[in-house]
Amino acid sequence: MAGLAIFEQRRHLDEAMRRLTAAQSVEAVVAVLRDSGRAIAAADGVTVIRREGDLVAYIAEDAINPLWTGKRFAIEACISGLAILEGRPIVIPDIYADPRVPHAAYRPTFVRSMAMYPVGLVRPTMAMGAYWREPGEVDPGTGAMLATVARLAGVTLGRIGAQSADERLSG
Amino acid sequence: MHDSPMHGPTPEYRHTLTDAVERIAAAGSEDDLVEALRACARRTIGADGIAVVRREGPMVVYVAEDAVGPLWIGQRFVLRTCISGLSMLDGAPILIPDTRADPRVPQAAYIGTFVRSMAMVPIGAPEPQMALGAYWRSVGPIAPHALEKHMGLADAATRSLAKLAG
Repeated sequence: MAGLAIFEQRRHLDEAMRRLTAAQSVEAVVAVLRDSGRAIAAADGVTVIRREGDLVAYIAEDAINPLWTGKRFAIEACISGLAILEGRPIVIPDIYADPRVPHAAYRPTFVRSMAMYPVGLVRPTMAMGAYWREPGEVDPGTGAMLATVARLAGVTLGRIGAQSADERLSG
Repeated sequence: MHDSPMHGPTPEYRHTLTDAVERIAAAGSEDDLVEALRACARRTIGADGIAVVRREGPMVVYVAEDAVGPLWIGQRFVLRTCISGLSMLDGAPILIPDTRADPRVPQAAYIGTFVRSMAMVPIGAPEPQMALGAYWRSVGPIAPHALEKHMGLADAATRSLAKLAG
């Protein structure tokens, strides 16, 4: 079973990488992450987040129940913002045991564990989150696949010029 | 020099370095030099990957690589924001035993790569114009024999660049 599941995840990763290689707009990159992220991560939900100055905006999602699409949060006040500011993935096996998580924003949701990846090689401008309804360690193979798709999404943003020279200079 | 059976450069390694240095010395253009480094450095150093980086004004460009997984070929970064640029500005090698623990490393650029430790050596004197990076999948100090080969290649490349500049 586990073997078959990982094969499915890899198949979705391959498809996402093909689409990212051909993507010509930020919207296309967002669409690939929204369409493929959940299957790549074998997750119960994914979100795509964009930095807007000192805020982050949840711009797309695919989840078993609604998450935060259309909402904006202060960049230091949420996990996607921290991942963007630190330029590092943040993996949280139990959100209610982690003081970085704004618990009030998560109580109405199914989320119990998550992994957040910044998108962008120098100064990340986006992030992608994967969420599970059970607490537990994120499978290392799944984490590696999410990192791979986040990396290529960042390379793609650079290629299509979504990361301005300014953003790169200030990295 | 570490010449114990455990850590020492084997005769085969010496041979590899000699071949690489000869090929680097014979480069007839900067592109030739880049290609010589790309073809020889990973095996000579014993790394999981290598990258050749060229300075272009205030930027660096990753112009060639040979690695177990994709690195940054074709990408441009501002000099001071990446390790290759810093090593060119310092004119000195930079050794990083754990990329995730070093504040100089731009973490976002390393997500999804295999890299967990690395060494970067500038090429060209007095003002470095290139750099050679070596990367490993495991965390740990850079092996002295790997660094010795790495520096040997960079020295040869520096001489080659000087000769090309006439």
